[in-house]
Amino acid sequence: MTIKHAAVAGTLESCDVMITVEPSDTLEITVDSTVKDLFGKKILACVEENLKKQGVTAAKVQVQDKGAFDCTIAARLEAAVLRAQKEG
Amino acid sequence: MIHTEKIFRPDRNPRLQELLTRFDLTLPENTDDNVGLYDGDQLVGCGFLKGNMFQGIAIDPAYQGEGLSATLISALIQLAVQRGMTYYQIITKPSMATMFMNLGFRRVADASPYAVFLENGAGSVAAYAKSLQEFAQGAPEPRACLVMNCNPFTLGHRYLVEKAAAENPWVFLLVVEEDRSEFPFADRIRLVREGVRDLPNVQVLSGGDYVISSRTFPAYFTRQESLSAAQGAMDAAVFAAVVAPALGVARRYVGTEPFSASTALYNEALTERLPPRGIEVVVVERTSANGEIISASKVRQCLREGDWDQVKKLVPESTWAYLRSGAAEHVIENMKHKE
Amino acid sequence: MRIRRTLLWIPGNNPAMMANAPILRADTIGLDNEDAVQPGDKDAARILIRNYLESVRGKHPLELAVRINDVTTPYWKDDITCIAPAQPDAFIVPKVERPEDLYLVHELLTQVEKEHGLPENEIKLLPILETALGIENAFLIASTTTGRLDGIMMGGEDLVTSLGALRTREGREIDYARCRIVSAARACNLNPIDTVFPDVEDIEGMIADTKYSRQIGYSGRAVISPRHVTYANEVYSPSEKDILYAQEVLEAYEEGRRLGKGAVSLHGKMIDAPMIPRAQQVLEIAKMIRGGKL
Repeated sequence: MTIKHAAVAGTLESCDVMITVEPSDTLEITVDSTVKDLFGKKILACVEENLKKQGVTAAKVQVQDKGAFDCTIAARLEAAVLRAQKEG
Repeated sequence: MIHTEKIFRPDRNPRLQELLTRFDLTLPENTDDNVGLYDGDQLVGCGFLKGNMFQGIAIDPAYQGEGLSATLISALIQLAVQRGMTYYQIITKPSMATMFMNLGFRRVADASPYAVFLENGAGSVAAYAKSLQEFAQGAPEPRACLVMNCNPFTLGHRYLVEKAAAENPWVFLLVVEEDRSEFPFADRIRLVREGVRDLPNVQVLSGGDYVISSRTFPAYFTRQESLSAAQGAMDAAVFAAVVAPALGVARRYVGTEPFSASTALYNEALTERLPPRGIEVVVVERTSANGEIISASKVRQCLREGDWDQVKKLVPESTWAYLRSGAAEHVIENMKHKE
Repeated sequence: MRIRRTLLWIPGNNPAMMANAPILRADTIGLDNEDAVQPGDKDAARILIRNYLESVRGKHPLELAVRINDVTTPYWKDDITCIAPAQPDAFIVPKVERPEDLYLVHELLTQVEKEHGLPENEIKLLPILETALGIENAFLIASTTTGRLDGIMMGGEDLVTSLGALRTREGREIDYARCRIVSAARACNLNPIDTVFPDVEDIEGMIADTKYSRQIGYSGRAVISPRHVTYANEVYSPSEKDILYAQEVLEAYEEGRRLGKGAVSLHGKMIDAPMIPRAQQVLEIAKMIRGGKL
């Protein structure tokens, strides 16, 4: 699955996460979270796992977390990747 | 129910005016897009997008504190990404800075009491500073710096650069990148490079995302006098926080514009705020030709009027060649039409 | 048949509200991908709804329904194909005007169930009638035989536009529609679910309107605010008196059968056939409210 252009999904509201994906030659993930110290690694792991599930091996991914559950992170990531495939 | 929606005809919206006025803001001009926050059909918040900058953000106090700032900003970010941008800037009142930082924005420079400059998304001020540092490696000290739009590069600019080059072993010339000037950035910076090619100790650099021009700044303040002071304060804040440390600069050169109160206020802000941060400000009187101050705005005015004789007196050979060439033709035409 | 005293609308693109849903005490949660989500976000919202359903499967005592977009939009098919595999309890179909609208959804849903090896016909359908044509076709719609129909919902807000009427606090303008839906639903043995009370702040008005709703035959209503839930639940719940009476009705009926009596009376009144299922329903609701104890 290739990222064709920049796309974003999710919001900065509480319990949500805003995920931006952009085309890239490598896989690069940055996580910014209100609970970064406690959960930063966990969020990163969740994103990595779901990128693998989506078949995305190269992308620049920005994650701005506002305390989202794993199922929300997965949903927003899937939506962002989906949008990055769309034309126009 | 709260929802977001584009505000159509923002210039004809009394409720929007009311909202902005309450926050001491004016309607941002020439914006690319906007987001309105509505409760049912009542406008309770707004935000505008100009390039990658979020402007004119206001939320009715009755609705603050309900996570609606997150809703508004998220909607703005969505708009920006749809336009292919993943990096955003906000210039806002100091009172709003904390709210944005809670949404993940990082502070770039603080020009209190006027404004604070924040950023979010890909890229960062740290990366920019690092790239500047690499340019500056090995340059002799002390180093001076000029920040100019050069729209286009004139003899006035040349004079200023010459002076700085004569008085300092190394000079950095930062050209403001943002492309809201009549002449496109690519042409502007090329003209600058050609115009100072003979000066071996002058290095021309692009201002990048952090050296913003006064054109991106306006519309935040209603009183004209404070606008220039605010712009100057922001310039000083960014310069002192980001540019000067990265380039190792100890001096900033600025030119005067005797009949311009705004330039005076702008320079005053620099003179006030930079020395306490260890940066000397050198104010240079503008040169004149036939008693007329040489400035880029004068050149543009003459171009509009078709007064090529006068233009020739104000610009160096390199700029003249460009203005007479096909490359500049459509730019000059546009200027004539846009009055 | 399921009792739904309250159906709380939750915007489908809002993880915070979805996380809180279980504690809000509504009988049914309506995860909304229609009016509560802007067109540009419906793609992301349906993925969020699907993931949420997968994560709470089996952990919720309450019913989870999803409002898809109406069949004239380009969104409804993706809503079904994306969300059905996560097995919501029901899909709520807005702006249903003809039986065909329901059959369309039923067909696609059946196809998806087959493709994913899901139990057949388990996911219910709840149509919302909210246009003039929908109201007029209420009986036809209520009589559709998809096997999934589990209630008929009334949608007052959009209806007012369709009727060219003016929305008022008292709501006289939707009286006919409200009553017609009760009638059509009951005629087909379905529970009617009333429309929302639109003013979040006006609790008094909401309670009065809900009492009226109960009076004309509704067994529940949709609500747009968690604040409305407890009040509405109370109005639609049987009182102690109601429960006692229902118990008596059933006991009297049982005794009558045992003793071989043709007709049975209670407190001097004849017990008609329709009273039996109604009494059973009352006790069902009571049981549900009290968590199984009576």
